[in-house]
Amino acid sequence: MNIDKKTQKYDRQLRLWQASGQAALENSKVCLINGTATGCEILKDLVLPGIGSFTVVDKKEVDGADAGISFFLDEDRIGTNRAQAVTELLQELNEDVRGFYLAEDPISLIENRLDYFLQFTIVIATDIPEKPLLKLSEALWNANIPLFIVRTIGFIGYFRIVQPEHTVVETHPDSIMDLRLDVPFPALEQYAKTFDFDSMDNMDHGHIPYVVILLKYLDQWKKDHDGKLPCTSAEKKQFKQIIESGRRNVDEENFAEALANAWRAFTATKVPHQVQEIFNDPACETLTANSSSFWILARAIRDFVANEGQGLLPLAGSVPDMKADTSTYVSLQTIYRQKAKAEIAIVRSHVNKILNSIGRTSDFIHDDEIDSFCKHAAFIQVIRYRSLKEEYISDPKKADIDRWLQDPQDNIVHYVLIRAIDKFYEANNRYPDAATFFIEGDPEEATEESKSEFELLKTYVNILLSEWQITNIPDHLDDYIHEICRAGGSELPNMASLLGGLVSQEVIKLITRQYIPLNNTSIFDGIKSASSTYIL
Amino acid sequence: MPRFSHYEAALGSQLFEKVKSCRVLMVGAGGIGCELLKNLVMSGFNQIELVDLDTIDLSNLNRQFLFQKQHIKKSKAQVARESALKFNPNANIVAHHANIKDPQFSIEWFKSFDIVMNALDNLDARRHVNTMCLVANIPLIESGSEGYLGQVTIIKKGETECYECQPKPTRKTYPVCTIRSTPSSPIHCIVWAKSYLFNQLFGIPEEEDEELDKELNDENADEIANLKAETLALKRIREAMGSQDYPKIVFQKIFNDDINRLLIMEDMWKTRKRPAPLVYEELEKLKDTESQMDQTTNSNTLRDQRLWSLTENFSMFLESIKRLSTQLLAEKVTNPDASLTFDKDDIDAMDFITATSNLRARIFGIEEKTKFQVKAMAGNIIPAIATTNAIVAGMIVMQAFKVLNGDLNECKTVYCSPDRRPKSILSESLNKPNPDCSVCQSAHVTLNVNVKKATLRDFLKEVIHGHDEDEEDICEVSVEEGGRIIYDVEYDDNLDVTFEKLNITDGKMVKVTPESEDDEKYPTVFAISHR
Ligand SMILES: [Zn+2]
Repeated sequence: MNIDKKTQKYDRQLRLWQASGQAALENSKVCLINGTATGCEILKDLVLPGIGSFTVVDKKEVDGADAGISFFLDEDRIGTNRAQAVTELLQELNEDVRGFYLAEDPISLIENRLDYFLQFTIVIATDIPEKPLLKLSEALWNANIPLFIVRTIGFIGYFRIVQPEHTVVETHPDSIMDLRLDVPFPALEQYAKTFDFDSMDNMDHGHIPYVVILLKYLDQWKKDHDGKLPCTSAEKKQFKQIIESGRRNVDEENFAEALANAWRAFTATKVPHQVQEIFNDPACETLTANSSSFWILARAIRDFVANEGQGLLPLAGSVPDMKADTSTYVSLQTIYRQKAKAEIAIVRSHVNKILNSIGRTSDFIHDDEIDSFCKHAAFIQVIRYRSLKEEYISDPKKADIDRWLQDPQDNIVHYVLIRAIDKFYEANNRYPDAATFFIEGDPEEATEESKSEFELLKTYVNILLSEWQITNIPDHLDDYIHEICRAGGSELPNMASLLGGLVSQEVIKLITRQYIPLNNTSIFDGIKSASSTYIL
Repeated sequence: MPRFSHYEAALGSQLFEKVKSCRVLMVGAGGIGCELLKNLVMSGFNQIELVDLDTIDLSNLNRQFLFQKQHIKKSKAQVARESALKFNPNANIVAHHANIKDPQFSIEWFKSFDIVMNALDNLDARRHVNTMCLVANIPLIESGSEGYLGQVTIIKKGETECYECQPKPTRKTYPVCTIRSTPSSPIHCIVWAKSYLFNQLFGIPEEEDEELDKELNDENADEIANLKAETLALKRIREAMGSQDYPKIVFQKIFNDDINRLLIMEDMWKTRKRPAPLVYEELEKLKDTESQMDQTTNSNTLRDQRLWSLTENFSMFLESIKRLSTQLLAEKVTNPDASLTFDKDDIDAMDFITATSNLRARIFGIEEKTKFQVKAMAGNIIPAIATTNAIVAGMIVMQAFKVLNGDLNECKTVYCSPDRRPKSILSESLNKPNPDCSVCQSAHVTLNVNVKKATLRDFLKEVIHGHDEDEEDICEVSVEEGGRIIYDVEYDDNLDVTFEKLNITDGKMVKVTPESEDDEKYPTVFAISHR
């Protein structure tokens, strides 16, 4: 497909993640373990926007239940390999995406050929029991490949992201406003001084950009207040009154804008706390030949702040829309842009110095990347995840789970059940299933068989709770155990689709390295229509 | 194992029966619609009617997965039905390739459903379905998505907020004089290219004289007269469409003559930068020298996403005007009244808008924009992705279960916004109706009437006066249909015209608002049913 056609096909999403995000998507290789209904929905939402390729690993044969739940399987496919069947149908959704499948048992693959999974950008595991999951997650962790663990059972959806670290430059904040009103750089200060408000005619006075208005009144204020910004609410009010008194008539929109943006003059420009933390991070302190471009750039910015920046980040360089005549607006824009450009050049030299010191050439980091990093410097993010081993074995969040569990409205109860079901599966090689006994949907009318299923699952819940030393077992737990027995470990089509959307959205954030992804577990309750995020 | 066994157990057999037997109306088969239809079919809904006016476009394929390349230009409703049936051949799906505002979709027809689901992308249709569902008293699930954000809510007459209980932001409009004479920002040039020039040359020109007269004051009489003359001249130029010189004539007119005429009005440029007209011959020369110098301009970079040079804009103007003319003239062969309508996904139209708006920006010293940016600004483009639509459609079905179960008090307004942590999906209780809402608080009445015979006078006398004791009050109302005034105290021209002649036919809604001092009175909406 030619480039313009492609832009047209992907137009509506390019507006979210631009060409750079699209290129990252198109270079990605996604692996899905088990072609479950939820798994297929996730892939559907990734194939449509155009990932590079996907591979489905699944040995199962399609059965009637699959055909009933999964949109991508019909009755004709019953008895055929599920990986092949779903791959063929998913492939039809987008001719730009290549689809592969491997008709092998994922668990034995994890046991015997763990390296197989290291070729992918991202691995999504559905319906894999705890033990092989731990093994897989460790291998991927060491290779820095993100793993998604996904489960839907009845009206409950669960997913967990596992990876050591994720760094984001383009976090897409609501707006990047870096006006430096409190600390104008010389060129800006000079420019503001060229406006002699009092001698202007009404036409010109009504077109002074609000940035200049704020600069002028703030400069005056600082002279009268020992260099301090308006701080108390009385001072802020007073500052606004001073602006108001400079307004010649109510029609002056530029003064209205100045008043609406006056709060920007009350905030001191400084390095945000979370960026300072990134500067203090050992990964920023000690760079090696293996350091990612993110950390090299973070260090270059840190060096800039400590030297030429005099304590401030590089200027973002963009100017918001405002009431002004065209030529004034363009001059103002040029002043900010030129300053930003000059600072980018300084950062480039820091980058080159660092690259040289770790034995890399300067083309390891492109100019575009430096531009973007400087522009977003105040909003960069580092997210560190907990490993699955920490969650399951070495450091479970016992106290947090105990606390959350006491709130009957909290979704954490579903986490307990999903973990218990895994234990149930490991011991019995099947999921708890009371569906056929519960057809009326009333636990009171449950049969003996369903009651025993309930008791059995409950023992695993209790084992888990005692492992976590949780003794205060909440009453509402029993209702949920009934509920999940009724679902019989099975997926519901509508929930599969919903989870597919939630998971693929996070996958896209990780691949494009844009927007801030979730950390680390999300649990969705379909009945309540509410999701919660936990760090587990 | 039977197809729905676990599902039935999870839902409960009572609700499952309702799901199987209920009649669902789905309005819209786009981004959310494709997902929704799949979910409905897979969840056992058996009686579905869907309505969509649109045909399939290339830019739909990144999310509307029931459609593929070979379906481009076909009806969304029909193709969605066919694709969905492949996966559940037993479902009963009726597809209407039509506008939901068509009279065939009457109140009676709405009443034949148990639940209505909106999967729309525009305010106008949403308002219409909202009103229809209020009048028919059928629960409506309303939804929307924009980028990563999504929302689902329930509307039920008398119990919840309706779509119009909270005022909706209106789209920004610009004064005609700014657009036509004194643009100062890129959007002014784009609006000029799209709403004025495109329509004047290829579309149905907007009646702007009235607009212009509204802006008339002592200072701008000359300017207004000038603008009217310009439009007239452009209308005459349109006759030359198809001729070899056509692009040049248009260029000369809009980028040179009109600008020179503006320059004569000295007052206008005392406080503004003077525009600089473009000269056709100069650009032609420039184009020739450039093409001799460099045959291989970076054709591989994304052309939509970089700024075009002056000569590129010039060439694109000439090229796109030819392509659009050919397109229109071809249509005129079969339909002499044919005209083109602006479509943001039509390549020729977007090339034309980009080139002309940039040339105009150049003249006025305004920042130029890439085609990608122009498209967003001209087309009012809302970012859209598969993921959000999947979430929203899933939410719709979850809410539908509650509605069918009669648990309206458990229904929620659900928001999804992935950056809002820890609750990226958040639900809130439904709001009560706004007592000041003119839409859901008006009385809704079905009026059986013979539209061929009944006149407006009959209506006022029999129906409105019918419940009013005081004969003098009869005229103190205003009557509207679809936003146009049919009658008010100062406008009684239509009194003896029949409903049919007034284009008030079966399925139309007539709104009668009392204009007496008494503020307590809400409007009454009459749903016309012809008999
Ligand atoms: Zn209302």
